[in-house]
Amino acid sequence: MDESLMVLTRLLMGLGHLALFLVAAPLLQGFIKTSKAFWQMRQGPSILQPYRDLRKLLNKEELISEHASWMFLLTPRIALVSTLMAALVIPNAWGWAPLSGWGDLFLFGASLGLVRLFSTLSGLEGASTFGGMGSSRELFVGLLTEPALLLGLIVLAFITGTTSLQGMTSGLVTISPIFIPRLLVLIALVMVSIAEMGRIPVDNPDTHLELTMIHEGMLLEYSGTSLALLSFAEQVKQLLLLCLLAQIVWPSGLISASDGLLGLLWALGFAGVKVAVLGFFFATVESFFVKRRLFLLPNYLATSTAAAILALVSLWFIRGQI
Amino acid sequence: MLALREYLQSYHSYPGIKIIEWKKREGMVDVPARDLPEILTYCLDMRPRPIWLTHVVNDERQLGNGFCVYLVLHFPGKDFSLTLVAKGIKDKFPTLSLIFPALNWSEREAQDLFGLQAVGHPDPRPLVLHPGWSQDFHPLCKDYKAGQDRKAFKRQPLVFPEMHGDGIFQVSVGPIHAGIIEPGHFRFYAIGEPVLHLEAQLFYTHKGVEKLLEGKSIEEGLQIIERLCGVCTVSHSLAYCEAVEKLASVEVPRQVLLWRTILAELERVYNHVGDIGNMCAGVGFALGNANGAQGKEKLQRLNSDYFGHRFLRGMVVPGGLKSIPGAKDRKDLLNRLLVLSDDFEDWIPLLQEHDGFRQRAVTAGILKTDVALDMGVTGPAARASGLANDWRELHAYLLYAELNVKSIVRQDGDAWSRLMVRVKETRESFRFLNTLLREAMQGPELDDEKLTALAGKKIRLLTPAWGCVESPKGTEVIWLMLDDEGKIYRCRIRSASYANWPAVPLTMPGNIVPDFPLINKSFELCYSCCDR
Repeated sequence: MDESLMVLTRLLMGLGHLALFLVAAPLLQGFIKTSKAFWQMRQGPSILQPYRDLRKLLNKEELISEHASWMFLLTPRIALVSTLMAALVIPNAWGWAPLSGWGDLFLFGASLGLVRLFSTLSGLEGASTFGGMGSSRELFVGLLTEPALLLGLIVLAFITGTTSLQGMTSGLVTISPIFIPRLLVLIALVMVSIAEMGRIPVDNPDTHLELTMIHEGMLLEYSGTSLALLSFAEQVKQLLLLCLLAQIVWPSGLISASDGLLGLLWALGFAGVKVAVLGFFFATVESFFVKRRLFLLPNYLATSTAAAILALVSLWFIRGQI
Repeated sequence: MLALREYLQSYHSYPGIKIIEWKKREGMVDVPARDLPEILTYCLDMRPRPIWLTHVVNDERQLGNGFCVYLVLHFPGKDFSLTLVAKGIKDKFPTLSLIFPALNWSEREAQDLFGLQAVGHPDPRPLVLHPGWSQDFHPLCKDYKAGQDRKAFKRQPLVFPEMHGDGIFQVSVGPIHAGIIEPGHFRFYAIGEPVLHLEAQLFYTHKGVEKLLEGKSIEEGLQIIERLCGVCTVSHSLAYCEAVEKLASVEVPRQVLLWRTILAELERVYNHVGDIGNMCAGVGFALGNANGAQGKEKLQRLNSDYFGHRFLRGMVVPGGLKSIPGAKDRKDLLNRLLVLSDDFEDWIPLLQEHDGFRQRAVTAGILKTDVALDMGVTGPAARASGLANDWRELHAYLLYAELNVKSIVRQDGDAWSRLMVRVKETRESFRFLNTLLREAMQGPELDDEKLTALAGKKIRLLTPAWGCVESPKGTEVIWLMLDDEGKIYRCRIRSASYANWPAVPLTMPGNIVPDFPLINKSFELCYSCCDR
């Protein structure tokens, strides 16, 4: 009886964990857009606009290219599900992840990789040139971001002695925030996150210039429900990356567990503030920098890989072993 | 210009060559069509090399002249413009595009709209009329009545050159774009990202404006000319009015010239500020784009507050101006402009010192000087490629002689140079506006009779005249001829965009596909007044 209750509680908590990410993702998107509007001296849309956009897209008719196969419709579903898969290993506001200890960081990398695989394939499905260009560029960028992302997380695993992301964040509490390998990893992950979120200087999420699109290029043929799912998946991915970064910069869980419901809310609020600050940071970067020339992206992304490698080397020097 | 005159007089087919008019600033010479290429070659060998103002084909069969070709050349430095007229063309004329590639489009257009054949033209594909129009549809011929062939159009696919080789593919973009811009179809031939060749198919917004203008009165014509496109209203109407005033031999009073100069500079300022902002959108620089959009909006509101129209439409009329602001408004206008000029100086360093932006714009889309010269490029694009051809300096119309305008020239010909030319010109224009408005503040109040001087003047009929103005995009030329009732017989609009568009695809090879939006925006050409 106790055991089944435990399982049921865990299941409910897990569902709650996912629900939190699902509900908060469009809000973060709205907040980033509002921050950008602030820098551009515009009023900007309401912070709730992304929710409305999703509802609008869900009610819209879906048009499918006559050249497309089953892959075209499968991709949006896979993208959302596999982003949620990644969400299961990211520690939430209370420092808890439903699937900790399952080789988390590899699960995280693999889930994002799966999304990339399917979206690049379905970019080709519409048989339009932009989809093809988007896919080709996405793979080009992905080739450079994935090693840095994984290497960065692996260094964190070495620092804290666990591959579980939940374990890492709790492990980082005892590590000095200016511990050199930790700082270097942070640099690497921030740069990679920009590329993964499809933001300036790598990609431009607001662009109407078809010829420069990377991520948007692959979505160009989508409409209606499928587009809603894909944008939603992208927003969840953005929230996941920011949560992970927030937990690495300033790990926090339950601030005072004894306070019951109030403690839970405090922790949620604190995590929200951390993510919002990061979101504002990325919005600022996006407003003040320009999109780089496509062929200079390797330099930029190589910097993040280099930072991750330096983190590994410096850790080796400091600890004398890995 | 004596040498040229002597050459023409001693030309072997003289007196086949007839000098109709030879004044200090303008000349018109009748030339047999077969001699055009040789005479043009002689002209182009002169230094400094002449620039083309306009190339007009006119159906004068009712006047007993057959089809006529008018080519207006300008000799910089000497401020002399020569019109070469070839009359009596039946169905073909020798092409000049091989000697002077700038005439490429104009001759193709003549093939489409008049059914003439440009013999020896290197690229005789249709230009204005897209595939699908019948072979004998030539709307600018006088015997064609507008509207009669409307249903004859059967849509056919566009034809583009083929390119073969390993890894070469085509990227087709438009005519419908993802943003709110005008329609144009671009086809890139690329290997991976680097572009080998670009074909631009324009004329989706060809509205037959030149046909529409035929038979209209001068006033009706002005209203159509003002609406050619949104952004160069003042320049278009100034060019048109200059042509009309030449025909009517009207001397425009100084006060009118002063306010016309102010209007022209206001138009330049708001366009340049907006164009600079748009270039930021081309690289995704949100802050620069926002500042540009804001500056442009404030300038347009200023236009609206003092002249009643955001695009300054309806101000310039033949012979004068509709109205001018009163004494108090003049002072306010100046004060507000000074504030906006300071705003501009505040945010422009943001661009000039932005490493990322420079990185994108420097060396992107280089237009070489000789290409610019051959293609007859005008405006900021030409000046960024080392050609000092600001019409305000070359001809010094309006009050530009007093302002002592100098062309702002840069040598590199890349997107960055085009941006910097615009930045410097905006500064200069703010300075001019300051000077001009200070003078205007001392000027008297004008009543409306003084402003419209055209009434009662005798207008020369069946004589060509042209007006030319430096718009924000480049030199605009409007060529005008009235029929025996004083209605428009033929009005040819050569906008700056029309002169510059053929050069844009030439800057693309060697650049990568994602740089095209930036390069295109650095030219910032208008589709509407190019397609007409």
